[in-house]
Amino acid sequence: MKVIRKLWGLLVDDGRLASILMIALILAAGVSFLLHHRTVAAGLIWLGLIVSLVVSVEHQLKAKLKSKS
Amino acid sequence: MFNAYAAFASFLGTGVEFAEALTIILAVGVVRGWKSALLGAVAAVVVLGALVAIIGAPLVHVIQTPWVALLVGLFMLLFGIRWLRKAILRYSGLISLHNEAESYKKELEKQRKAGQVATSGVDSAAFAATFGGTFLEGMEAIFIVITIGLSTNNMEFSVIGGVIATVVMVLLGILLKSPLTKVPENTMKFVVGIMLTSFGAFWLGEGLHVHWPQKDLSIVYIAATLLLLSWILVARCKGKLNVPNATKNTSIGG
Repeated sequence: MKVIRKLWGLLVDDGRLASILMIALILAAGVSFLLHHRTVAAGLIWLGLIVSLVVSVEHQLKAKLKSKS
Repeated sequence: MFNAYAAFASFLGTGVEFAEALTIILAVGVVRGWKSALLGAVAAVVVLGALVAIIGAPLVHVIQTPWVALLVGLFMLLFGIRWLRKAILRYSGLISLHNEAESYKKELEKQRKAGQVATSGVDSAAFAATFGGTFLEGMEAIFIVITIGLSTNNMEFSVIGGVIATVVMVLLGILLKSPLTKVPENTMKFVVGIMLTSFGAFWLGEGLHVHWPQKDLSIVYIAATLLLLSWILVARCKGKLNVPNATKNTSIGG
């Protein structure tokens, strides 16, 4: 059980970050395969990295500030 | 370019994980004896090596299969961005920096409470502690070695990087006989996080047939973006948290 938890933990320890990233990747796949806008799809992946990190860190910051006040 | 990239990322990733494993081995060895502690650690390293051979070798032959490439890219991206996020949170002061000296003290205490040391044969508690610790820390290391090796198509260099890191950590452990408190773990995790995230994103994009402007060079500008973003996030969080000028220990690259 510990090994499975560890394996899952290797990939995801913040659901918010992982889900935003997955949405960006699914959108990129759709734009690339269905609409054939391959450069836009690359931009979506790149944007997904930024947005997911910002949202995740901002959430942690808000939680920390809330716990301090 | 990818040879050095694979070896360097594997070296850093394996090094940082085995620095943590070394802390456990040292604490167990001091309290419960070196024979059982080292046996457990060596057994875990052998199992991890076998896993690299069993999982890594067949994947080398099927990595050109689109869905395998996608899966490897996705794993590498999720793993890398997780390390990057954690490093940013630590630099920002949102979570505390990993402290090997503190981990060592805790492990010493845990081992002292683990019952009597076996006077003959193998001490099962010591063996289990070092086997479990080395195996669990090593799993992250082999994850890096395998995914980096597959995606850069340089499994040999990736394995070499991991092996060198293991040897270096073992030698440091023998020479210093104390936890590696001077190893800049967060910086190493940050660098590996940037490398894996940028390469994972690129590799995944290739699997999704996206068009990366400047092709391979896009890895560099994705990495640059992540570096800049990390700096902005760390500065913003520190400002909000009113963290005094603690740049000596917590600034990026420090």
